[in-house]
Amino acid sequence: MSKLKDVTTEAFAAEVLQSPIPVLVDFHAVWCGPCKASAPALEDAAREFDGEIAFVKVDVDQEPALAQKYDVQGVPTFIIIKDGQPVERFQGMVSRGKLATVLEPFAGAGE
Amino acid sequence: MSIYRAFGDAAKRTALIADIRGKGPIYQAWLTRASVEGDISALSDEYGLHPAMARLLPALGAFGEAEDAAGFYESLLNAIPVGAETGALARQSLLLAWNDPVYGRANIIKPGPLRAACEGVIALVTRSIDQPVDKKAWRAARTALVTARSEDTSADRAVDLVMSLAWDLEQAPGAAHDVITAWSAAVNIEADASDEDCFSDAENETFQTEMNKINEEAMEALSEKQSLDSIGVEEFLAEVERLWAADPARHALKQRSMARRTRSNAKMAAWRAAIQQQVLDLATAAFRSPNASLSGVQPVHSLT
Repeated sequence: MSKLKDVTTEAFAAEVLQSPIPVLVDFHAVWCGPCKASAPALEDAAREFDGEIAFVKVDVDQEPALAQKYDVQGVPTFIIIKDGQPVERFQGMVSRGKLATVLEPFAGAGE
Repeated sequence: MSIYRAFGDAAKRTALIADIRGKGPIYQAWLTRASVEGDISALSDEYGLHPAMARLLPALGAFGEAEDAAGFYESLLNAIPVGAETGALARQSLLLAWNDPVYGRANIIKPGPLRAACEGVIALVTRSIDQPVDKKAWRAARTALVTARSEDTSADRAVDLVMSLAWDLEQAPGAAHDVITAWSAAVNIEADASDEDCFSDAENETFQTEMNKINEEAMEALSEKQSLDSIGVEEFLAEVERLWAADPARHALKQRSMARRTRSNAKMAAWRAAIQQQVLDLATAAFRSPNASLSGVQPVHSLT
């Protein structure tokens, strides 16, 4: 079962903006090859940082308002939101190495 | 260490090798695209290969596009005894990305805190060959590497590779794929950069601009004669080639670019051949004796 939850515009505030832990938001599209290729690494990272960082997906075609609000110009775009604010963003296919580099500072010191 | 034991019986190994040989590039493409986007659990569930080994194989074969990927797969599968545990071999193979005297990333990172943090990761990978490493240890090693990296960005690409090594392959076997992909990309960049006929920045820009223009011109020319939907790939490529050749200045640039690509591909092939041979050597050494140790620390109890 996927650790990445699909989030809609309606649920975004509760699931992401009010989250007590940082949230990695994966802005993706179903037709996007690099998005699919990144999925296994994201699942692994979601398991690795379970309880420390939440992982959600936003389909940009289904939720254009969110894509526009966060100025998503291409997919995949990843935005880390902490305390309701975007604190980090990056684009393109991700490896586990890249994810670890970006996420470790938000996950606490080796907890 | 893992529940996977290779093949189950000799007939299954023979069947897998025959399948790879028989289906050729299509099978190899399946093998690799699935490793990126989907499910390759069949290689583990049906053939008993450790999931990290299942991902390492296609990556080392350049995703089925290498010179003789099928030959390499066949040699490696033949070197693995029925019933062997292959996770240790996968880990030892991945360590080549750091340790290899010619291509290893240890050559890139200078002594200092960053290198020490990288070596902390390498020590964990080495330890994981013979014994489980807990999550806290991996996390601590990654945190140390992130901290060291923030103070020294001189070798970001190499550090990315080491960061991909810093995952427990029992939990995240896809990290094996990430390591080889990062290594391949780094070697490719180095091959391009060391070429005898490097493009200057201006030449690179000109080449990109001309390529885009020619693609547009080709589509325009073909669309005057037929509908866009009916333009085939081969037809389009032929028109593109004609346009490159029609202009001597463009043609010269294209010829240089193609020659560079040929030289770069040859360097990549040499890298792949060297690493594939080392993996085969590791397999031969590891499985020669049931008491052989991959790390030299203690017997690999799982090689039964």
